[in-house]
Amino acid sequence: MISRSRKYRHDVLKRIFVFTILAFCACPAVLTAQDMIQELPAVTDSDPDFIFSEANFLFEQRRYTEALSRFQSLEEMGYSSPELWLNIGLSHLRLDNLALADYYFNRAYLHAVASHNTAIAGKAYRSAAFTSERLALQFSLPPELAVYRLHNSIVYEFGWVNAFLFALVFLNLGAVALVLSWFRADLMRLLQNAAAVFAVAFVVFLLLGLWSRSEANEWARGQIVQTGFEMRASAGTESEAVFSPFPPFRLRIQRNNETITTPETKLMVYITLSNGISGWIDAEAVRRFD
Amino acid sequence: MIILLAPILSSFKYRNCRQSGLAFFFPLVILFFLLAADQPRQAYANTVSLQGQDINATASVSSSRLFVGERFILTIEVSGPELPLVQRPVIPEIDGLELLSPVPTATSGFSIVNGVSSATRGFRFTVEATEEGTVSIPSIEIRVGERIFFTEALELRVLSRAQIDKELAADRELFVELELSNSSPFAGEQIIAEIVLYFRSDISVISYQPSASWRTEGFWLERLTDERGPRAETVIIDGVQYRRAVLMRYALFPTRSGQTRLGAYQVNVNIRPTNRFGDTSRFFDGFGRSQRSVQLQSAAAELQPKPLPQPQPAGFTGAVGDFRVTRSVAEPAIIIGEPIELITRFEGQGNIPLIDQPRYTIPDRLEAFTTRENSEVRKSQAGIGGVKEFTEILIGRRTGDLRMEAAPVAWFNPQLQRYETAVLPEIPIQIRRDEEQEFVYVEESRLRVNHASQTRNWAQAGQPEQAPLRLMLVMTLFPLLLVGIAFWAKRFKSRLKDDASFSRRYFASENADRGMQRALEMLDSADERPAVAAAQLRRTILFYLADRLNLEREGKPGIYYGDALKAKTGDGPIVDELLQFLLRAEKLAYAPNTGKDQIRMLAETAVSLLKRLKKKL
Repeated sequence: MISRSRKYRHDVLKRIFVFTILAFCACPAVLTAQDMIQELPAVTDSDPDFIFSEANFLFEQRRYTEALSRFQSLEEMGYSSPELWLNIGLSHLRLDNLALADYYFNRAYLHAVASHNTAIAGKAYRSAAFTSERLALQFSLPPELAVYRLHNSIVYEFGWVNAFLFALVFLNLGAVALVLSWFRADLMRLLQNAAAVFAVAFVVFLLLGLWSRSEANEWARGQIVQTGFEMRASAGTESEAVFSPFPPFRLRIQRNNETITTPETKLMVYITLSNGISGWIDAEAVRRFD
Repeated sequence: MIILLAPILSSFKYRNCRQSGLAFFFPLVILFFLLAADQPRQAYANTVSLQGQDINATASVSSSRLFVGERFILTIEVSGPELPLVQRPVIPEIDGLELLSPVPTATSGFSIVNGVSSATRGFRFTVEATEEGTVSIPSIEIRVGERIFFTEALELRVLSRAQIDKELAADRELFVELELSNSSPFAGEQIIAEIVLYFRSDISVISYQPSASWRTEGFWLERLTDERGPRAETVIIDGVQYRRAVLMRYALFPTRSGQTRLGAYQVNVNIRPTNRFGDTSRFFDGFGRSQRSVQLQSAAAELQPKPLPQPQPAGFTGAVGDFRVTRSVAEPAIIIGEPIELITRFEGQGNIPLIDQPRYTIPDRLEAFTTRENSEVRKSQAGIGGVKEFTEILIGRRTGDLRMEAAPVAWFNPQLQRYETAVLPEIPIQIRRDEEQEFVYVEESRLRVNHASQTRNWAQAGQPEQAPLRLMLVMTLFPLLLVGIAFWAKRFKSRLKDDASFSRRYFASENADRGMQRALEMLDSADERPAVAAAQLRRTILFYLADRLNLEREGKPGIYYGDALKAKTGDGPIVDELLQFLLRAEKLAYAPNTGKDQIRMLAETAVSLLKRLKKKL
């Protein structure tokens, strides 16, 4: 009987191994097209590395205005990298524009963390601390609402990708527990309970991921970079002013909700500040992190 | 007035004095004084009347000497013992006058004098003088009952405003002086400028309006206020008695040395003569009692501010006056990153708002931000004084003990005519790290972060977050595959357990191998007879066939298994071989002297046959 059971297990493991190998072999073939889509488009007009090097040369020559112009041309061409944001921030800092410097340092930090670029993340964090400290001497920023911090933590810092990955991990754990419960009669009860818990966790994280993705698609993170602009109750410069935000107020900007007011033809966006106040503001006063 | 007081007098008579015996005396005394007091009004008014047998019609004006634009009251009154219906008089158009109220204000009264009653009806018209010159008001017709009365004609004199001011100035009735406390001050020294109004005692100043513009180039000016308002005092100038009132008081600080000029000061003054009993002044004779506005102007003043003595001492901040200077720090022990407020305070009399911040060295461990200046200027009649504070915000950037060095501060004292110097004290400061804080402070006053010389890779700005699709696909497929395979394995296990024929088929080969091995062991064993091994070989082949073909293992002849094998495989030679093996094995199993070599040959045949059967089944 023992030898029979051993033969049976050997056969099962052999077949699982074969299926797994086949599945891994099949995946690259399936994802090739997706990978091609994600690749960057070819640069035809100018070489970003050349412009970046040129701007760095100007920066080292202390010609900060010209260096900033070169860096911003890369930004206008649609290029993005933590190093670019860091250098733009440093240029703004040298030109004594604290609010924009703080914005670009924060942007560099977020992008560096997302791309696991620890060296730039460290520099950006230190630079942002420097500018924040100086801005705090000019403006007394109220603390962020706990709800705002929680929303940011879930939607942007944890992110929908991690939520989906967690959901899939729990799905796998649940499947393993379920399968084991079929073959281990002695642990069947325990394994079935574990499978149920993993299934609930899977559902929770799946819903969290869906909600987080929806929020990330609707709201973008940003920062106030200019003073002197009023938040208004509705889109339009004649509307009632509700608040006067100042740098470095953190905020969320609603995507795809921009209004051009007439007759001033000013682009206004809907934002929610970190202190919970919502309203419309001139698009010039805010910048997005993405 | 008599008419108004008549009921009061009668009430007084009957209520209070009836018992005292003075019931008739007091009313007569009071009546006498009232008549005496009322006399000047009648004398002042230019009154003419036409008498009927018992009715008087009069015309009067409130002022017979006017300036252009001045308003006055023209009163038409009718009085008599009994007045029938008095119709409203009609004022004809008069050159040089404009009637402002065609509908007059009607008045009426009734009086009893010495037991004789008299009634009065009046009509008051408001008229404005519009042209300069002599104006005549013609006789005015007024109808009383069935009778018509005429007032006497009046004559007025209308002057221009400039003519009045000229006459006033020429007569030195009213004038303004600019009086300075010091005409040769040092540059920056405070002097007091007073705007003084002199006027004759028979003029009442109702209000005044200082000029909005006063040319004070070369001076910093601060108006001093007196909450009590101007007070007049009596002075004698060139043997003439005047009233003197300081209208405005200014603190002036010359901002440069050399010839400087203070412009003339203009004041608009509203005045009114105060004579009540016909004692009018020379100038206001005949002007009536209406107020008028007079524009006055002081003479300009020449000043010669002196330059401050040279050389100026170290630490001179531009302060001129009498000051006390201190320096303090609210909290000399701070945590790194916290601010220190270094306060330098000037207090005293002088050019407080013009003082500059003293210069001193800031230690390297502190970062200085924009200095905040607070001035508390105290204005008094003596001049400008107060406090000026320079609050410097210093942020501790590195830990350690340091000292704000002592620094001299100097100012010029115009009273002593020399510079005075004070020393801002040395202040020890401690900057400590907050051990409870977990986050890192930026300890440099400058950000020491180098720019990134090259970028790793470029991405598209605004690109949404990309998911690791390959990993997610694997993590999605893996549980599906695992569950599918496990489910299949579970069903297989159940079938092995529940389906006997399936179980026999599945384990037939394994059992056959084991039986063959056992037969060979029997053959090698000294304890067993070789024939037993032949039986074991035969049983092994038969059991394999029975398990694979789901037949009975025992009780059937060899041809039974041969037919089943042929039906399953259709292979005739292997069936023949099987039958020959079974026949030979049966013989050897029951033969009395079976040799091991025979059995070994049989075993080799059995192994070969079993291998062929496995391939076929």
